[in-house]
Amino acid sequence: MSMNKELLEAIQRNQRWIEKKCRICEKDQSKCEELIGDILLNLYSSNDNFSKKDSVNADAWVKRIATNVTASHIEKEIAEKRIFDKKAKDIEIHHIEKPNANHDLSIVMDYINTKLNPKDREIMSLYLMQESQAVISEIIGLEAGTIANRITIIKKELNSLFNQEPV
Amino acid sequence: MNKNIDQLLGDLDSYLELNHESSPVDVEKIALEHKEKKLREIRGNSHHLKALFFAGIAVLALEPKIETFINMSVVALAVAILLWLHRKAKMQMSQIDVALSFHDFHEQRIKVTSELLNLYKSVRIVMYAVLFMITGTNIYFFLSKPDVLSFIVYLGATLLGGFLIIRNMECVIQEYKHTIQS
Repeated sequence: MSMNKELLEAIQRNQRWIEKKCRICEKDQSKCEELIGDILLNLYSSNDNFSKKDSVNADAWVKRIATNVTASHIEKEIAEKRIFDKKAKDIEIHHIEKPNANHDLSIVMDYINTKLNPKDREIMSLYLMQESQAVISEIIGLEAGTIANRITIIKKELNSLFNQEPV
Repeated sequence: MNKNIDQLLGDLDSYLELNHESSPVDVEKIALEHKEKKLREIRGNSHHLKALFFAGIAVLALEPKIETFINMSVVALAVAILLWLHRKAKMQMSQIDVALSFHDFHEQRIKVTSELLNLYKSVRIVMYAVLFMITGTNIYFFLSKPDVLSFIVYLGATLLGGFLIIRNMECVIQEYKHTIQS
């Protein structure tokens, strides 16, 4: 099966985007590579469906598949941690401990991956990737106004988290 | 000075160590290799099950008694039902179109997960009933022909098998419950 040229070009164009999306949700390098493999396999399998559609935005197609696959991965990881580590009060999917790491970004990603519901989590991870509200709206499938509203609320929560006094 | 999330976004690439230039990849090759890897994992699991099956046959050959046959059959049936259930769940999940928008994809996932959750819960009741019956059967065999060693071995092995199967189902049920609640 040869791949649709338009889809293939979109995948090449968004290769770095896919890697970034995976890195935001998965700290483990081998799991991250596995996740990228899953996304590419899903994209490859979607080739026939893509070719059948008349007018479809190839970039949005790639980003939607990458978003859905990473979201399923996070859900699975959270569920597994809940089952096998019931004593843990906080579930940390993304927690990089390095002496020079940007601590605030670590807080942001931990918060996004573990404290938000799936829709908010995906909206905020796309926001972190500096996607426009129109693109986020196309990937998530909600109105741009709703997206803007959610981003404002979560940003307020995050900013108050940064600026609260240490206990 | 108050910190703001927007001030951090510029540092994301360096934080994620994404400073390298990405070179074009052979999507088809990577996808097919990944598929092959997944198939190898499934085949690896099936080798374990084959080994378990032949171990059961060996036990039956060494101890050709009705008690052995009944206990082995019950565990084999329970494992077969569990495998069928996992296969069905995987198939239904894979049928959800990943190219949908996230909102629709998530709704579809919750719908399929609720259906599967009900199925798992029903099968779990059946498994408890089967375990209850096999315990009763083993007690009956013991009372009709007292043999403490056989009783302990059969009951222990069957209950251990049953416990592992039910624990596996409980994990899936918890995972599905979490997905539905999220």
